[in-house]
Amino acid sequence: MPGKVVRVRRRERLGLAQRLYLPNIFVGLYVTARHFFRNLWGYIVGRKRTFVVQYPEEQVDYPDAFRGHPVLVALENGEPKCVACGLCEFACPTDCITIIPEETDAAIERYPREFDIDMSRCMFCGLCEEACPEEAIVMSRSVELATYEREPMLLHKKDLLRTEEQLGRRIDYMREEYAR
Amino acid sequence: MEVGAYVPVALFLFAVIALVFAPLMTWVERKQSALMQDRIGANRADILGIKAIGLLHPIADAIKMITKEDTVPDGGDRLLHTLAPIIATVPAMISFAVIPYGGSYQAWGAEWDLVVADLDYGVLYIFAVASLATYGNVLAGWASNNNWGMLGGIRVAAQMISYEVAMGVSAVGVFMIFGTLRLTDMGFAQQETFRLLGFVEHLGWVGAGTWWVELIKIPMWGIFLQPLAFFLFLTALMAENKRAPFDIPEGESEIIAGYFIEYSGMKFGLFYMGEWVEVVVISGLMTAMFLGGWSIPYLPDDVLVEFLRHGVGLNMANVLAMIAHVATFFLKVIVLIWFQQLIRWSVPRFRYDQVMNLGWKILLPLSLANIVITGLGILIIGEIMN
Ligand code: SF4
Ligand code: SF4
Repeated sequence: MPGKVVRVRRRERLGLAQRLYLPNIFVGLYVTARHFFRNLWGYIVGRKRTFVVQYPEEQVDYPDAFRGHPVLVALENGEPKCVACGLCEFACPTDCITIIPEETDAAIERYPREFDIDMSRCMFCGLCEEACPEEAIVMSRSVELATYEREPMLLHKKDLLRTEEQLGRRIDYMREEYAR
Repeated sequence: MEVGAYVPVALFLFAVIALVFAPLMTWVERKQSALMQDRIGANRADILGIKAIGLLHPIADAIKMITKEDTVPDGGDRLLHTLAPIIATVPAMISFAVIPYGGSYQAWGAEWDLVVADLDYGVLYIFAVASLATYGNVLAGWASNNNWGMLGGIRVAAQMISYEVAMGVSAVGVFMIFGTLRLTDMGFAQQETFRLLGFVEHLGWVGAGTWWVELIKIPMWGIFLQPLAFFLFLTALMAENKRAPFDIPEGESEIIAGYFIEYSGMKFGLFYMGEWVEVVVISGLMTAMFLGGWSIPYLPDDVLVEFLRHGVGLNMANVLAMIAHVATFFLKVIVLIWFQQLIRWSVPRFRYDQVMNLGWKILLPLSLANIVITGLGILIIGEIMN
């Protein structure tokens, strides 16, 4: 929520009201009390005025620039778009991508037999997305990765595949951003 | 010194304060600070899906506190470490005994006094007992065998000594006005009203019964007769309470938690309990001394009973008046609790030297000046009246 810019001009000498201290305390109390009653009234009439989102139940729509964990884009046939070139693997600062390539008879000629991303190491930097020549690895909006063990943090190819519809506006955003 | 005739009623209300208000304070603290900061506040504890706007959190807290591990540090004094939280909490609880939450009522041949112990040195009892709590805090810091704890304990002692003086002196003005230390007598005295412009009549400037002189009537509440004392006393009491903005002994940013740094479990909880009960006691004491106690403004007890007896008879009228008065008292207490929380969550905390300066250089001289002004005022008004 962009607010208007307020310039604070601090005078070097404090005015009488500041030096007496008490008047300004009452100004402060007035401000907090105003918030208190406004929010209280908001809850009573059922129109809340706080910005707090009750997270797991309510969720905000993240902006397009938001980077969740990386996922693989799936073709129509359900196979990954990835050609196993290894550029993302190379670009990744934390070495969390592991690709085992294999040849295929399909038009893309190479495909990843295994494509693992270790989410416990990924830092959501998006460099893999930037490096990929095929728009095959894309940052999703999903960040809910918490688990009780380490094992589920290692995501395999089948966990990572997403259709273009599932990725929504991110691909358009990506093109716009990297075209610059 | 005679203990009130209907002790059960009084004890019941006493229990209400100690067992209901104090745990509720955790809820008030969380919710009010949340509302003031545009948040929602704790609301997740539920029993079978019923959340009751976060009211179940005190229960969850209590269960957590009681089941937590209770540690005593190596080299600490086990006996004093255990005793300290109790010493710190009990005085706050028993000091409510002299605060009246209602007047006295006759019903079915018995007299109901709504105060546990109607002592004629009432306020002094609170001062005396409340300062005992300081020992609990100092001992807690000392028995923990921890430098931060020790520092916290020393700070408690310094702060309490500084503010005890200002607290006692600022209350003197009220004693002078009402001529008593007994809180019930103060309560009865505050039911009267006075005419703000009455002096023009007494000076003979206008004739008796001029209409505009009768117009502005103000209840004889301590806050109207002693406005300066009200703020001084409240400030001193809040400093005694050791909560922000006077949380020097706890000083999270400086000495981590101060005197209760080595505490865990319910012993830790007891310190908080003590503070919250103290907030309620402060509100009760301020109400009794400055906000007219149980009295409804412009409606003295006898007028209310007289009015009610036409419908329901004298006995019931007394009971109804009692209920109305207790409700009024608690309403005032709740407003004051709200106000204290408002201050606690608005005003930034003071530095250690600022607290000392405020206590010795501002509060004490002002409260001494208040005594002189009150004395002069009483003399001048006495002259005018005659
Ligand atoms: S987002 Fe960054 S850390 Fe994560 S896989 Fe891609 S390049 Fe590696
Ligand atoms: S950079 Fe793109 S195409 Fe190359 S291996 Fe990574 S995901 Fe596959």
